[in-house]
This record gives sequence, C-alpha cells and structure tokens, in this order.
Amino acid sequence: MLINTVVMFLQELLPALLLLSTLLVWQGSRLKFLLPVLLGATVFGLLLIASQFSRISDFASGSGLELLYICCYLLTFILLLLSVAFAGQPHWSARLAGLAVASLLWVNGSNLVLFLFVYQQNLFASPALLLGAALGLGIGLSVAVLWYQLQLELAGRWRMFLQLCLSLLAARQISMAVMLLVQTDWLASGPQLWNSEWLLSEESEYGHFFNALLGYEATPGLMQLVGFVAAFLLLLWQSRRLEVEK
Amino acid sequence: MSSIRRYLVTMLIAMLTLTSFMAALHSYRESISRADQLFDDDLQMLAASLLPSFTKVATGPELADDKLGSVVQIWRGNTLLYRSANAPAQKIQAPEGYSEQNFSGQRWRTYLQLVPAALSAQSVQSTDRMQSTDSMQSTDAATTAAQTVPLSVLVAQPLKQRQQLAEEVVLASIYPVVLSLPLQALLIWLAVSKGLSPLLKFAEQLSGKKADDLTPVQLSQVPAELSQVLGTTNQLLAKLSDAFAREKRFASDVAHELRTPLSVLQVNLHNAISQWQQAGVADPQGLMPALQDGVQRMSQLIEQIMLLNRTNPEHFKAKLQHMDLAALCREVIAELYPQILQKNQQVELCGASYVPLMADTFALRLMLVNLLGNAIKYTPADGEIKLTLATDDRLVRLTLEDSGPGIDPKEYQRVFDRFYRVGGDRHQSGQPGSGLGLAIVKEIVALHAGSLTLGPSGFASGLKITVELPQ
Repeated sequence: MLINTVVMFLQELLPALLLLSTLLVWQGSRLKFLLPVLLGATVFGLLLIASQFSRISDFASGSGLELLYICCYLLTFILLLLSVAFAGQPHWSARLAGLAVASLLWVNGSNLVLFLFVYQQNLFASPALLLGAALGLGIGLSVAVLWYQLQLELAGRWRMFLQLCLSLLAARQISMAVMLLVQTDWLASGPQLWNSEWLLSEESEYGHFFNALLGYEATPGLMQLVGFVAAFLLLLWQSRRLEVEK
Repeated sequence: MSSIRRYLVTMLIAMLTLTSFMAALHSYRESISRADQLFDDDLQMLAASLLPSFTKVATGPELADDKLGSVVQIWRGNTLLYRSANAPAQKIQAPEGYSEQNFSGQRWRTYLQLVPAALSAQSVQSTDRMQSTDSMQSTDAATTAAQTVPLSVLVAQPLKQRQQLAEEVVLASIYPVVLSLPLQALLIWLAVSKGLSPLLKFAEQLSGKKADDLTPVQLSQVPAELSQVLGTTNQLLAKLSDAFAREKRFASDVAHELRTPLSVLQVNLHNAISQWQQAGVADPQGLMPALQDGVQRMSQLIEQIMLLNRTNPEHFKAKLQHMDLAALCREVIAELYPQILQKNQQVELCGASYVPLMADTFALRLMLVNLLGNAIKYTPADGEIKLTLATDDRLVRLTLEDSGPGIDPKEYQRVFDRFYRVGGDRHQSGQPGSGLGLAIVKEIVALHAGSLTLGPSGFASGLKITVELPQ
C-alpha cells in the first residue's frame, strides 16, 4: 500500500512539479501573474472534473476520461507553445504558463483524487496511505526544488539549457497524448522501436523521473517517438530566443 | 540567488527530505521482504512441528497464539487427518512448497510439505512407541496406511493479515522519519541563520552608518570566510576617511590661499583706478572695469565653491533648531535691500508673519540669499519680486516670484546642475554668476528633506520657485 501510494504520487505529481520548476526558472519574477492563474484554474478544473467523473467516464463509450486526458495533454503543449510565442508580453506569457501547469494538473490531480478518495475511500483511514502520500509529496517536492536549482545554475552557464528542458517537458505531453490515443485504439501504434527495460526500468526511481521529464517509455512505439520529436523540435525552434529571468 | 539563507535552507531541506525519504522507502521494501521471509519460515516451522502428532485427532482446536489466523490441513491421500477450526473442510489445492492461493474468500500464502510414505511411517512408529498399549491396535492400522499413501501437511496464512502485521511493524520505524522532518527543517533554519548572523551583523553595521561615520566596522566574532571582506572594507573606510580629511583641508587651504591675494588684488585694482583717475590717465580700451569685473566674479566663484563644499551632505552637519522663517526672510530682504534699491525694484513679503520651523539657520539664510539674490539679479530695473510664506500641519511653503525673463521649462532640471547657466557664458542677462547658486539651494533643501519646484511666476513673465520644508 505504502509503495503503491508513493509511486502513485510520484507518477502524478512529478510531471507537474518539474514543469512548474522549469517555468519558474524562466518566468522568474512574474510569480504574481503565474501563481493566481495556476491555483485558480487548478482548483476550478479539479472540482469540475471531480463533480462530473461518472459522466466523463461514460462519455465516448466509456473512454471519456482518456479523451479528457488527451485533450489536457494537448492543451498543455499548446499553452506552453503560446507562452513561449508571447514571451515579448511577459504578463500574458506568465499567465499562459500558469494555465499550462494547471491543465497538466487536471490530469494528474484527477488521477490522485480517484486514487485517494474513490479507490481508497478515505485518505486518513489508512496510516500506510497517509504515510505514502507524505513520502511521495516530500520526494516530489524535493526533486522539484533540486531540479529548479540545477536549472538555475546550468541555465546561467548555458543559455540553451532552459530551452532544452522546456522543449523536453512540452514534447513529453505530446508523447503522453499519443500513448493514450494508441491505448484507446484511436491511433495505430506502429512498430515497437526498442526495449530498454533492461537498461532503465519504468518502475524504478530514475524511470519515474525520466517519465515525468520526457515521457520515458521502455518500449516506445513509432508514433509516440514521431510525436515526441516533432513537438520537441517545434518548441525548441519557437523558444530559441528565450532568456532566463535574472 | 536572491537570498543566501533561503537558498541554503531550501536546498538543505530538499536534500535531507529526498535522501531520508528514499532511505525510508528502501528500508520499507527491505523490511517487508524480510518479514515475508520470516512469515514463510514460520509456516515451514509450523508444518514441521505438526508432523509428529498428525494422527491423533481428525479435527482439532484453532492454533493457539496465532494472530494471523493460520489454517492447517493434514491429509493422507484423500483422507483428512487434521484441520484447524478455521480451515475449510475440502482439500486446499496448492503445489508443494510456497504459493499463493484463494480460498475462504481471501488470498492466502500456503506452504505444502509432502512427506514420502516411508518417512511418514517411521515418524508414526517413533511417535507411537511412546504411547500406551491401549492404542496399539490403531497405530498398527495407521502404520499400514502410511506405508502406502504419502502425507501432505498444508499450512496457510492470510496474505492481508501478513501484510498488515508486517506493515504495522515496519511503518512504526518510518513514522519518525516523516514526523521529525518539520523539526529538522526548523533546526536547519536555525543553524543557517546562526551561521549567517556575522554577515547580517556586518550588513547592519554598514547600513546603519551615517554619511560622515567612517570608523572601522567592529564584529565580536569574525568567521574566516568574512575576515577578508571585513578587512578590505575597513581599509576602504580608512582610505575614504583620509581622503575626506584631505579634501576638507584642501578646500580650507585653497579658500585661504585664494581669498587673501584676491582681496589684495581687488584693493590694489581699486587704488590703481582711483590714482589713474586722479592723475588723469586715460583708459582708452576700457580694460580696467573688465578686469575689476573678472576679479569680482572670481571672488564670488570662490565663495560659492566654499559654500557648496560646506553644504555638501557628506560634510554638512545640520544644526536643527527652532527658528522663524518669516523673521529670517525679513532679515535677508533688509540685507539685500541696497541692491533692490539700486534697481528700483518692488519687493513684497506676503503670508504668515510667524513661521516656526526646525531648521539650520545658517543654511536657510544662505538659501534665501541665493534665491533672492538671483531674483534681484535677473529681474530688470523697476521689476517686482514677491515672497510668500504659507504653512500647514506638516509643511512650510516658501514661494518666490519675480517679473524677470523666467526660464524655459525645458531648462528646469538642468539649472540645478553645478556650473550650469542658462544660455552658457553668454547669459542674456549679462549678469556675472558662477552657476552654483541653485545647486547650493538644492543641497540645502535636500538636507532638510524638503522639495524644490520651478514654474512660471504669477507676473506677466518671470520664474516662480517653490520650496517646501517639513516642519
């Protein structure tokens, strides 16, 4: 139970936390524009999704939740792209960045809500669940803080590092959307390209980290890779003139 | 890095949390694995301990002191020799050794020990030798059966209970790791604050220094990392102090050295002109008055430089005292009245007749002399000058308006620059000046935390200067 909860928390929280820490490195002093949008949109979106879970789940012949998640992943990517495109208007760029994190949290947050309050009934009833949540949250936040500091350090030395991180995180969302499209048979997977399970297991700590950062899959399909590379190159090109906020 | 303390605290807490939580997770995994191993060993021992007595009863009581609710079944072929009270009546299907099976509505960890026919017979015989002769007959029958059919001993524990019991034990060791984190965070914050306290004290002392306080910074404890910075800062302060002292001496010496010969020059020039006039010597090119003007201008310039030096905030120590600005205005007007009279100008002092103020009298007199002197200088003959005093709860407002040519609004900011004169040396008024008067006024107003604004006067033309000083 404890391990499952920790893994669940890492899987769901780490992608959003890594994206947020990268955006904070970029947006720097514009927190007052980013945070209210992020908090407001996250709370509003999660309440809406939680109140309509059964309707969403029944939609599209029972694939409603997957459809919602695909839309959220695509929206996250589009918002990141727009945020970079509007970098010349810092306030709007920060708001769009906050909205991008919120749309990712709609996916991850609703998964957590499902896990904690629907499958497990009550978070506070099980000590293992509570402890697992605390451990998962602590590890996720610590990794995000260290990742933030590492990016600050490296982005100061190498200007392209921020663009690279942002592009990887954005491409990850497309990769996840493609994976869900394949899972729901709305898209052909294409041949499996390789199996790197022996090198880096998806279930290991590093596996979770790289999944959160760049959507690492030990056995990716062709479509997933094509989507990832296309999204990565698009955002890298779009963000070529980005500057780190000092 | 906006704050060293925030950086250190967040980094240390993040690293501590990550390492301790990861260690706790690994410890949890390892402990659960060990607990499973122990439970499995327990199952095996239970099976072995039951072997000697399996023939005694067909059904028996539930195993004593077993928190897990283990079940036991002992079969010889298809004959049930023993089952615990919570065990199902039908045979539990499981492979030999350890496995996980579903029965009685839950999942179980099972251990099946198969005893070959020959071994089980020996076991039965050795057990029976210790029994009374009354049971000899039944023993013989059992021995015969044991020789042909193998014995299976199955013990099982419910997985959920096993996991719960293991988790209870293991979680107890992880709780302190999580619960102590806030305390550790607090200790980190305190330690970092303590470590940075010399730096903070150093910064406090530096920021608390007054402009003229160039004494060395003293810290009770100087860590090695800070000693270089402290030493260099104190060296700089000492150099700065020396430089200021030299500058003061230089200004004073220059004033003395220049004033005296200039005064002598002025007197000699005046005497020379008088003697030439008495002797009837002509000055066809009019060089003497020009020379006299030049000497007078140089003399004024030196006076102004001296005053500017004295009113510099870095040197000037304001001696604030209660004073009456209206009285001071009257005094300055009286002092400059000969010049006003000379140009036949009209001077008017309006507003309150008593304006109390906390200010430096010398500095304010200098300010008024400069302001009124400028007004007299640049206002043409028969022009008007108006001084107005007003006061409220917080401010004293002095307004000086003249009917002179005024200043282009574009020049308002620049006229306060040192040595700046509107129109440069070819000033259209033709009046001699150093370009320092308004710079001195600006510094005096700044010394009193006041404000200074320029604008068009209420006359047909001219300048209005408004000075606001806090009471």
